[in-house]
Amino acid sequence: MHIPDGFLDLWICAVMYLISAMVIGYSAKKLKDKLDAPQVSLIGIVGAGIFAAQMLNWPIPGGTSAHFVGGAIAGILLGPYAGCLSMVSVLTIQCLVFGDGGITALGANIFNMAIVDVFVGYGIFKALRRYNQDVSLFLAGWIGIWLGALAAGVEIGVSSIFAYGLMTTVLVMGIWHGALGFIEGIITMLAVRYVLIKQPDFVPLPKEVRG
Amino acid sequence: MVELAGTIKVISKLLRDFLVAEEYAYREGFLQGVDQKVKLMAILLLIVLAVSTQNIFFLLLLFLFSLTMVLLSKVSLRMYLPRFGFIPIFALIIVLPWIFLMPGQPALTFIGLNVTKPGIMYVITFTLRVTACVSCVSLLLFTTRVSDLLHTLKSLKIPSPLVDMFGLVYRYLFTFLSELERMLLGRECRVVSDQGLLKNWRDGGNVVGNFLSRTFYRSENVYKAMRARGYDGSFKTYPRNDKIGKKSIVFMALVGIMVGIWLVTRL
Amino acid sequence: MARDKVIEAKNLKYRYPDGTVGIEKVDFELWSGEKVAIIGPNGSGKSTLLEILGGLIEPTEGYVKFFGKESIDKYELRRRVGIMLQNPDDVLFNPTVREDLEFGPAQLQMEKEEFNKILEGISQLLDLKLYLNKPPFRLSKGEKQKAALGSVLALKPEVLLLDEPFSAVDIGAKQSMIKYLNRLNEDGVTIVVTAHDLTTVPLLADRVYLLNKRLIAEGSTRDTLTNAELLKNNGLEVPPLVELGLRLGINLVPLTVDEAVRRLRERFCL
Ligand SMILES: Nc1ncnc2c1ncn2[C@@H]1O[C@H](COP(=O)(O)OP(=O)(O)O)[C@@H](O)[C@H]1O
Ligand SMILES: [Mg+2]
Repeated sequence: MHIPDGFLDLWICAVMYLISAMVIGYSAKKLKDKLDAPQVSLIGIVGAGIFAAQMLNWPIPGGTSAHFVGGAIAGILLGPYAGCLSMVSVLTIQCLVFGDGGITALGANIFNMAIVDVFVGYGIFKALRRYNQDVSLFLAGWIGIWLGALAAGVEIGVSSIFAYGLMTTVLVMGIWHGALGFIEGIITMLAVRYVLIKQPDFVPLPKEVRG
Repeated sequence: MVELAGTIKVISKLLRDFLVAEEYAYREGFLQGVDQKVKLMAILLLIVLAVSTQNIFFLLLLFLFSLTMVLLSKVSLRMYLPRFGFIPIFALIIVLPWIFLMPGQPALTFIGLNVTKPGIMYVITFTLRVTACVSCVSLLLFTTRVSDLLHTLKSLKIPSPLVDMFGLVYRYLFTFLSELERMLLGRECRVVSDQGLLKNWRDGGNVVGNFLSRTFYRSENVYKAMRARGYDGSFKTYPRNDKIGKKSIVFMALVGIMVGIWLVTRL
Repeated sequence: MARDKVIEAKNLKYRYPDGTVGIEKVDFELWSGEKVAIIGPNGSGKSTLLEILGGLIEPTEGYVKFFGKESIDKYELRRRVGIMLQNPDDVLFNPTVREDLEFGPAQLQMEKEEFNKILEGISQLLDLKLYLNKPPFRLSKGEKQKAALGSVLALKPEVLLLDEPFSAVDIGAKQSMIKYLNRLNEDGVTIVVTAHDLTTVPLLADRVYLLNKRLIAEGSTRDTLTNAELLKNNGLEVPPLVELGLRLGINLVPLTVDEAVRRLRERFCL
């Protein structure tokens, strides 16, 4: 889901950079009194963990395999603001050190995977948790990544540099990642459930999540 | 139900790619000697130019420019090209239908469909643009040490705590990758029978959950280590004397020429 | 020479957030210029105690006093007390070894010239020259341990707290590290090390605290390490030389090879 350089019009890149920078600034401000000390190490190191976990191969029917993104997990375990910064760190290192995703597209990639995925995932979990925790976690992972993919579809679709129209890109991204997102949902559910049940004290979860 | 062999392949490819690139970043080549700030900004500028042009000639020139830089920086093309080669191929496959879809003068007919001239031009331009861009970014990967890169981001006024987080992601990624590999191998040794799909999935989820909670635990210890050395919210460093040397000036001149050519193609 | 009390701790207890008791009922005293070892089997609370003594975690019960002061400014504490955590991967959190060495001094605003001098000395001594620009994850465990020690030494602390500093370094590095630490001690640095492998203890400590969740014993290195009963009861291996000495019935049981050689020579007229 990392958009490379050359797929997005320059103005889209600029707009996405701007939006992402604003959300990052807002998140940092929200954490302000906490962003001094333990937060930095927590966000960076859990980010490294999510990056590493993204390397896991989940086989899907048809012989290929899927990787999960982990935005919703980050949002739920760290809280949305810290989760967002954590994913921002992951995506920036992937772009500048590993060549995953373009430099001009970094703003857009951050928006899709560090903002939409994280905040939507967290929001769904928070809203639906009281009905059924497992379902809320599954939907957080699934819909978070699905909306992130749709956002990517829109960004690519409105770019004139990429000849396919908006309908096509949104449809393709929506169907493909709607299916793949299923895996994201299941992993989000299983992994977060494990953490909440097995090690609730181990993890300095945000107040809201600890419940 | 993590697929072990596949995962290990992915991890070792990531490691290998990184180590190869890093190896070159330590050599004494042209771009390695260019001031990091200049290099980062110039590469960003070149990509911006590429994204905002339709001119095949410029895109081709930019690609050749990046390859020249590769050679001047003592990087082997045999290592360089395969690193990102799949991205242009992927791009080509995606836009290939446009040789038929693009309206315009037919160039030839192929199984009853018209391949149009504008279609061919579009596909070539698009693929070439993606190629040139990814090649330019790779210049950065192959000639810059991560620690210098992070330092540059700070000097470009990216807030320090954010860059510190980037640094931690980079630092602990490799530690965690080997930890993850060990966890998977350990599990593989213990699981003897096929346990059925449901159990398998739950097992996979547990691995992720367990692994992530270890990272939380890790962060507590690292935080202790930071405090032990006087940390109170931002990584302070000594100023570095990054002077803009001869290589930087030559590089800026070369990039200036590319900008000039870009301007001319716009006329 | 009247010595100052560097650290005084009474009735320490530490409970981890998950309820595990790390240590309880531990008293600890450290005098300026001392060399002390904290020994105990795995999980006996050595690291927990050391982290409390380094001011990194607050005891759940009891108190710690540094330099005889009721309360201490945290920067002063960090400047004067250096602590090296057990896992070098936690200690080395920077992108390169050089930045890790630089971290403490830069945080505490040491002059750059002074730091450069220290850096030169440390990398010489610990053989770090080749690794300075390498990322820590590319070092072996022993190299990491040396780099971690270097990053703590870079602050020039008066008190050094080292958590199992030799557990992975090779024999040569271990010997040179021990020699260096002893020299630092002669220059006035107070040293505390933890160990579960007792072979290095006599080379580096005059006094020993034996820990097993609670404080089991405190005394001179000689008294403690020659008490085979005590060591065995608390899950520690009796050092082979001590075992040999005890079985041979040598009246002053040797602790180090040098000592053993001397004793045996005397006894058997070799
Ligand atoms: N972060 C932690 N959370 C919970 N329990 C812990 C933690 N760290 C250590 N412990 C427990 O505290 C006890 C003492 O541990 P530690 O001080 O690390 O011992 P040692 O260093 O002697 O091996 C052990 O029982 C250990 O399991
Ligand atoms: Mg320990």
